[in-house]
Amino acid sequence: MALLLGAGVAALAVLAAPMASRPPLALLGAAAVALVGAGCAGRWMGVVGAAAVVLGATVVLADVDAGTPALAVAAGPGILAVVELAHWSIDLATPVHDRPRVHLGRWAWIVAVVAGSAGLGAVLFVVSGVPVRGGLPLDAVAVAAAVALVALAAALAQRGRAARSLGAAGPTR
Amino acid sequence: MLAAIGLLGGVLLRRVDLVVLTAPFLLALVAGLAAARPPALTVRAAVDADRAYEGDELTVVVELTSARPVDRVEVALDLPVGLAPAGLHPVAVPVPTGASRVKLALRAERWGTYRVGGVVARARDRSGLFTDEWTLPAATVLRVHPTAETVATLVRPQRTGVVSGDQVARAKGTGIEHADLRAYIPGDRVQEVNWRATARRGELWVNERRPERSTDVVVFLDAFTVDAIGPAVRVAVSVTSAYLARRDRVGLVSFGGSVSWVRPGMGERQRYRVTDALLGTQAHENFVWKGVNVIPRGTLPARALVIAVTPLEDDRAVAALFDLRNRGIDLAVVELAPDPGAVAGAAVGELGRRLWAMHREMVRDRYRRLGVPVVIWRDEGSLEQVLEEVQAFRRHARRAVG
Repeated sequence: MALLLGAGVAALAVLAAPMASRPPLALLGAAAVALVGAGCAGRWMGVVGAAAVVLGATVVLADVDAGTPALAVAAGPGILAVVELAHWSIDLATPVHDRPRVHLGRWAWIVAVVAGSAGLGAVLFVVSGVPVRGGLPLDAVAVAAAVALVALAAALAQRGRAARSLGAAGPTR
Repeated sequence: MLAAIGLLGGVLLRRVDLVVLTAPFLLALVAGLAAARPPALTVRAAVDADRAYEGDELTVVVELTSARPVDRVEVALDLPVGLAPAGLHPVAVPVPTGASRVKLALRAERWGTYRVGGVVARARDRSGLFTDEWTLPAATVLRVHPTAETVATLVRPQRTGVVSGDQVARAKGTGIEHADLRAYIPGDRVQEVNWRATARRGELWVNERRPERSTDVVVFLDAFTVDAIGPAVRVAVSVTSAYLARRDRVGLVSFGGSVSWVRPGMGERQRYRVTDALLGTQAHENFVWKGVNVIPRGTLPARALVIAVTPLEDDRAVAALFDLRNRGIDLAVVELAPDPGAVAGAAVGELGRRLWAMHREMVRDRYRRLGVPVVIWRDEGSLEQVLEEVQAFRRHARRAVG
């Protein structure tokens, strides 16, 4: 499923690009799909990450050629879904027999995150179309916001780790 | 990290598509981190039996109690060598709030004493960012008994005890088995008169009978050789079960790097006692010379039949058996054939192998000259056939002596 979705995203990027740019983009997309396949087959999550970067590059190049960032709104959640599904596929390759209903939570999580990111992408796309004059101060605010977001993620990760190490006796990680 | 780079790059390069592409990943990360809470899980495990036979399947019930729902908990049994999972293993289950149970099957593949109930539970949060693991140590002792071969023919001891049993004594007395006829003497019971013989001879003749008595059998287990312990225990369990089923008294002497024993006794409790001692048998490296004098006197009754199960490889065991025979103990030796592959693979030449074989044959011959049958048992062979051969040797030896 991750492969199909990856191929879909790559095809979307190729079709959105002008005719002249399609062959190199198609090659790049095919490489990304091959990387997803290799990552799933070899259970290498790093390769799947590389595939996501190549897919992202395909989309960005297609956007550059097409002159519109609209493609990224659809492709972003698509790539996220590819990564999540590939991750799941790698998990399933371990010799663990899943009992019924064990996948419901993960499906719900993927659907929620992909839907949420699609919404977020749409909002960002719309906001990016609003003509705002700000110059350097606005750029600084944007960079600060991005740094703050990354810092928030790091802080949350740290909190999660601390909560586990302080948790009830028993679990070891 | 890539998402962070993409986001910052997008902002700095003023490329909305880069920001839109990387935002989902950051959203997933932040949402996953915000939603992740350490699962409060308690793991308990119980095994449905504490004794089993080789090949039996047992069930381990793992109880998972959680204060909040966990989407996926992988449960795996931590099994020692000799036990193997049966069926689906490991399994992943969703754990709702409260207690839920997971049944896992295991198969006892080899006899022995094991600690079971060890469980590893691994819970991963919904986003896959955190994994928590619980390790429950094995606490239940499981004794896996070797499967005993049903043996109908047993070695008849030369001497019987005084307690009633199934073994026909050589001495004459009150019993069921007909032994002989003799002339009537005053005091004989009328029921013993053999009327047919009386009519033929014209005077009163009476039947003589043999009583049924129990016997003392001691299994002497040579525990010096590591490779032979497995087959030796199998033979010992089969022999013990067969004699105890005949209401004989059975004891055990495990003679090796460490010496242990079970005094002769009868009944089901004795069977468990002997089997438990056998399950605990291990070959301990020890080079101290020891003889039968380390065995307590009551463990080897003078009238006992000693069935030695030995590979005849350690000189201490060989000498101890000679010693027993020289003390007048009724002895039979079941020799465990060495693995031919191991002998062939050993770093000895053809001449060495021939010398080794000659030495073994010489030892066997010395035993036979003392009236001790030595019969080779191979792992895949029938024990009944071996005991038949022992019995045949003893019959032949008696005739030769008589």
